[in-house]
Amino acid sequence: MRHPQVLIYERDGALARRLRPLCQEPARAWSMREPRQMAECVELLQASGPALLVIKLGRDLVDELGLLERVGWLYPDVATVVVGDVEDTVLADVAWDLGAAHVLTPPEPREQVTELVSSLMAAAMARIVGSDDARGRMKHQEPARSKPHHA
Amino acid sequence: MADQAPRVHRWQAFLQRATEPVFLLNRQRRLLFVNEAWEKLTSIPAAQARGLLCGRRRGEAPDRWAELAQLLSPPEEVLQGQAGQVRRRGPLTETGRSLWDIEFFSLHDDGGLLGILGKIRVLSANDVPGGTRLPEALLDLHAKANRRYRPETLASSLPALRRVLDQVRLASGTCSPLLIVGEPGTGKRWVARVIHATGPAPGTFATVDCAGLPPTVLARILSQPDGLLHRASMGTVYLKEPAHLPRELQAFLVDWLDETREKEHRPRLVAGCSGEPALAVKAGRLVEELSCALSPMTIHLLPLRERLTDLPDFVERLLERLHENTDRHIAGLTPAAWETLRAYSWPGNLHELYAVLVDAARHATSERIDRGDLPAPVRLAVTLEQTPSGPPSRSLPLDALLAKVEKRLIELALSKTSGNKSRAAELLAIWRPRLLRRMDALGVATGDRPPTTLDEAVEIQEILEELPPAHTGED
Repeated sequence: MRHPQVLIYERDGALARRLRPLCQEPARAWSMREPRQMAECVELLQASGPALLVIKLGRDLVDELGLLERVGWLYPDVATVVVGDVEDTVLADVAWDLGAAHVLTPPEPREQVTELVSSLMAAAMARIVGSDDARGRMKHQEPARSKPHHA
Repeated sequence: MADQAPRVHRWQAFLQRATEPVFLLNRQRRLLFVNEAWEKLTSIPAAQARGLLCGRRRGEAPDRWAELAQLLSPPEEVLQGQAGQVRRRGPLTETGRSLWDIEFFSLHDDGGLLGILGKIRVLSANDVPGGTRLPEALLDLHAKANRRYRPETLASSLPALRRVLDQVRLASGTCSPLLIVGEPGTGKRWVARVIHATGPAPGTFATVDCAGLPPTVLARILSQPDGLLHRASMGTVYLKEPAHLPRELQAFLVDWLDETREKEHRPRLVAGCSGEPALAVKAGRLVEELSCALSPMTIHLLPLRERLTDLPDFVERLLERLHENTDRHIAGLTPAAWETLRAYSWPGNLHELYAVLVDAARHATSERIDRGDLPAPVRLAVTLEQTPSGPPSRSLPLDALLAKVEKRLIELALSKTSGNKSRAAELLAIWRPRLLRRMDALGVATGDRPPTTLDEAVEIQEILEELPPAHTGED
């Protein structure tokens, strides 16, 4: 199996900083790349195993959503999360329509991207490796939940 | 001499009757003809427009004519002889700028391109919500992407799939919930998109990966007031594997479907299931009421192994998709490669077929994919499948074989990382604890170097070569 990777397509590196600890967890073997051009991103996906793409909107909508469309067409197994800083339902609708796995904009908290990416990574591994092994990892990696209180 | 009225040809009289704005360009892309509907749309008399060179110009100061010329310029594929369609912003009028969908049809004679016929459809605000403020290039990209989902892509000679096409046409005429059942990779989402694209409900198509998204996100996008189901712009919400939804969300969807049944507009729910819903209900994963609520109409898709007559069409379409991402042109497959594809069982269906073609194209050394370019697991599976049953001349100790391969790979990884087990684990895409356990089980000591001979690789190859030849005749 080729190496799984998370690709972050953004200008300022903020999402990469937030997600890097997730990829560096010992339980995972995902690398992180930060391509700066659409062509570079598509090339990285060509050589990749399971992959996940996170696109930050804002620099150039046509380029960013063009990448979403291109990846969805050429690599339908790659889940793409689109993250925006501004609540814009029209733009979000276009992103959903172009095949985003999720569109994260306000009022959804930005912190949710970590949980999203973690869950999608596990799902990608489950598809490749087989359900038992990956679901075991999902259980291991889910955040601890408080036990329900019984009256 | 009295002025004579310009001669009106029959074809011009014919096109004048069209209610859609129509225009004709000659092979030099100059406007030859526009009809009355076009004149009314643009407020430009035909006599003034005739002769305008329609092409994209750079560096010119934008004026009314330059803008019109760019608007009517045919895209590259049309100049190459294909049909094409674009979405562009119309000229500024008193009411603002509307969006135009322009279809181009190229006409040919023996000398090549004869002319280009164009037809304009003016879009309403409902057709493209927010269209007035999104970049034109983005609107065009969006429109192009959606045009892929045509019913013709579902055509098949198999009766079972002709029935699917009939069901798709029926489903396109309603807004009822819909269930699509088929093995992973059979194209359930594609069918859902075709139904959405040809259906009466305009709006957005959103895919919800019920197995991939965390429960908190699923709850937000499905049950919250600002979620997808409450958005006026939402046309279709596609639930991928709804049996993975938490039970409370499944119950919510049952209630929502019931409460909104009479509502004039609600997003259409389409669910894609890779297994029979009845089995999921029996296993307790899918709420029975939801299964019933989603299945007023159920479409069953055949696995690829049961529709091998369609394989050439799929390969052709997937190679076209592949060509968008590479300069290499793959013309097709050799007979030996075709034989292998037809003999393979395709557990991953169309997704697997695409991945196989992508991999094979990367390895192909000529313009045709040969059997040797196909991934080894596919070739091996076909070889094993075609092996007639009977006592093998030599036993195939699978566990021993796998252990040898695994040991070899671990030794190579350690050699590559100079004995660094963490990096070796990363290279092998496994956990470090698992690597340590396997090293222990297989007797790989730290610092082992791979053998200097290829004894183990040769032994594996010998075992494979001793397999009896493939059975080629009919029984």
